[in-house]
Amino acid sequence: MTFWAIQTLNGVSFGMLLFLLAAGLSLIFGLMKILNLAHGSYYALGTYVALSVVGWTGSFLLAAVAGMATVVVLGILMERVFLRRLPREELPQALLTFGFLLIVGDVSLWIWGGTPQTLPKPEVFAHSVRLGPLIFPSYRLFVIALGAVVGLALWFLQERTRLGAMLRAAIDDADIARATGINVSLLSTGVFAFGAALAALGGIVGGPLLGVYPGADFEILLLAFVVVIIGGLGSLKGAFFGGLLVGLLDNFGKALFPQAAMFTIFAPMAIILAVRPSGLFGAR
Amino acid sequence: MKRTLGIATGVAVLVLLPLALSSYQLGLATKMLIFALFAMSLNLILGYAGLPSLGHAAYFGVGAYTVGLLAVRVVDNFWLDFGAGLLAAGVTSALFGLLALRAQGAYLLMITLALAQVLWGIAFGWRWLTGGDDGLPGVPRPGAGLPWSLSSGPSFYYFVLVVFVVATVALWVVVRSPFGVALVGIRESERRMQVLGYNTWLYKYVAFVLAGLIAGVSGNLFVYYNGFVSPAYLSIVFSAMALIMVILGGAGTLLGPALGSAAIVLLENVISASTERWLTVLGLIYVVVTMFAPAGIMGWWLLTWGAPIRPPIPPNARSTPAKPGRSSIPGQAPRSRYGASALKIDGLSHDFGGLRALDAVSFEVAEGERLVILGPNGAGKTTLFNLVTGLFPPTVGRIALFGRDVTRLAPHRRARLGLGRTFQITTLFPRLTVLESVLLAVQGADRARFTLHRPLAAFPRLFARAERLLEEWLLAERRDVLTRQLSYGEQRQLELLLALAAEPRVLLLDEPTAGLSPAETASVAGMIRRFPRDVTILLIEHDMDVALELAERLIVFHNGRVVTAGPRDEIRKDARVAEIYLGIDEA
Repeated sequence: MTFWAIQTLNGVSFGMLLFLLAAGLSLIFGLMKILNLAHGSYYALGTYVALSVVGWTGSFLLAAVAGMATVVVLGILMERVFLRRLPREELPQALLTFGFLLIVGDVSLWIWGGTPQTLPKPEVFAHSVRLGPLIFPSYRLFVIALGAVVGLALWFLQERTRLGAMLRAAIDDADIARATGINVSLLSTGVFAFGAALAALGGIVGGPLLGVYPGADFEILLLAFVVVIIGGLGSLKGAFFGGLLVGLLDNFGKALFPQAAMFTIFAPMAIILAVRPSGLFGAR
Repeated sequence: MKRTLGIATGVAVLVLLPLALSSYQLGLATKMLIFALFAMSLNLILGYAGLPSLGHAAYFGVGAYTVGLLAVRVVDNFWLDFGAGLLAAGVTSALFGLLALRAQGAYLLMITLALAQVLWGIAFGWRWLTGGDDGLPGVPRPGAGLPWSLSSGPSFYYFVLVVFVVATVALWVVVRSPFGVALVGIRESERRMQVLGYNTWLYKYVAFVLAGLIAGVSGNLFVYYNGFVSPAYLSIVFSAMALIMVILGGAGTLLGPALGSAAIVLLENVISASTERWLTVLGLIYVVVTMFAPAGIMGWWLLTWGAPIRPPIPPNARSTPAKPGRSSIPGQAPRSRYGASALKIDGLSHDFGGLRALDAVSFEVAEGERLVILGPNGAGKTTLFNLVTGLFPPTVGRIALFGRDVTRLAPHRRARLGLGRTFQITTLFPRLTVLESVLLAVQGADRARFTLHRPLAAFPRLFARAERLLEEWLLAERRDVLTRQLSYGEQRQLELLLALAAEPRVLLLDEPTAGLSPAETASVAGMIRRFPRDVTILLIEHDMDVALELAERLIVFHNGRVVTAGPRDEIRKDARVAEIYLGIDEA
């Protein structure tokens, strides 16, 4: 009983992190049809910057803001200066972002070294809470709450606000949206920056649990891809439930069949690809 | 001649290379050849067929793992191991192709990446078999089973060189064959190829498996070269590396990817020797190539030094006298109004979500008849054409072509039964010349269309027919002009010509004169008038003069229904037609 409860909690909290990572990837693809392979870099870079800032100031909050700000600047730079000048074709765009993935990864290795590092938990969440007979680390509960809040906020933003309506219009048909006076160009940059910020947030919040190390950018990228493939590319709902599913699968897979750790994630993905190529919540 | 000399020089240099290089440098040259093969295999689907893949390392890695595992754990026999590696790569690509080719563009990139990642996960997690993260060391150079050992540097280099040359020649034959030319057609416009009678899925699938096989060959070679295999061989890093090699060298050119591979392998070596920041440099190469050199080295070369490589025209094709074909004499064929049924539409409906675009439409067209379909925008005319050609299935209803039920038949099968069409929005091959486009259309109706072991130039009958059509329809002067450089009017004429070149018996023309000047309209209308008399024509037309001139019978559509139908003079007087066109609703 305890085993199942703890593993479920761990799975759900990991799933919420995956949701933060996949949501940006999915939004960017939905609006611009760009497959952003540098998304894993946003995760890693945000965490590295936060690590340094925590080291200097001791403030987790300040570190989170600094990490996200750095990544947002990188995202805006990539979108405005580079991606925008490419023809609207998937492959050059994907390769360009892959170049950034390599550069950011290598420069991070240069600056922060090759040792795996973990962000310290914020003081407030250092202890555990007791729920009936079970003891949970409060930080994991915080991660779950944060994921749920971000998910709800995104849903509200997309479905209930004017900005969300503009976004949905632009996703549906960018040209028509432009013709009706929506500033799609600004919206694109905004979505890119926002998606990058979410990925950085995922990294910083996940930093105390997962840590950061050379190669983490690739691992996170692939996990985020699995989430959007299972959930459906371009769908927020898909990112949320895909994240949950992958988080749980990963946790129970690792706990129950350590030999087949990766396989428990990739096998369901392959099955979904075969049966429902557009994912569980994909439109196409 | 110049090209033969160039090739001979290149081969001679490669053969003499071991004399000039140190053993370290020779190892580097061997690696270049192996990666050249890997990149060239990807180029077959990326550069020729236009199918990007972020998982091409899957076949490379599967080949490498199969050879490595067999050689280390089971039996060290070259023929057995190499053959098994090839088989494994082929089976993997055959399986992945089934899943991946249902998607396009970014989805295709993602699915190929995901599938390769499944294999990576297996190699990574299945420790006791694969060694997991640490990889599988100790793979010996091939020797057992062969007349001589390949353990020395030069002997292994020559072995790789032989494999490289054989594979390159094979690829050279394939990309110049009717099959290879059809791949380029699919890259340029898959829809156009479908209605020309090509089973485009099968072409893409065969190319996909072939590319997987050749990638498997390179993976087999690389595990022998390195003596080691690890999950990295299956990773996105390897897949992306192949992509950048192809693009840096020049996608869609035979040898460009080999140049790209040589450049990357060399740069890696030089830069890694002096700095630890090779990955940063590689990242910059990705950025610079995609931003500033999308056509690659070969693209730049061709742009600077001359004409692009085109399928060579066999000399005997040019000298064929341009006699007009008998079937294309216009005019006076028997005007028997009631020939056999060419096309029968029965209760055809189509819904787009909740919108009924076509509502229980039924009519019949006789062989040789010229039928014009009238109706305002949104009346369901183009939807009708899309259903008849099979681009999407009807919600209900039946379509019969020459008495045969084709309702469930794929577009290319209908095309082969003699159904041709043009599109309202010009659908041509932008980066092919006029002649190449017509050749594709002619080839689509010829049994040579799936040949992949002989060059297109070995079929002079195709060239002869293409040239004859160009002369007959007055596009001969423009034969070597790229389609995208033609004027809009010329493009509309070319589209008609492509439809005609496929030897249709029923032709659907979707607003062929839309957007044309009066002079261009007259020449397109004249062209349609001169079409062979036995070809049944259904024409959607908004220009009333053209419509009334070409029509023997007219059908008027409104809101997805047939409002009225009848001979020309009857329709001309029908008050309802005027109402519809003047925008007065029946209600």
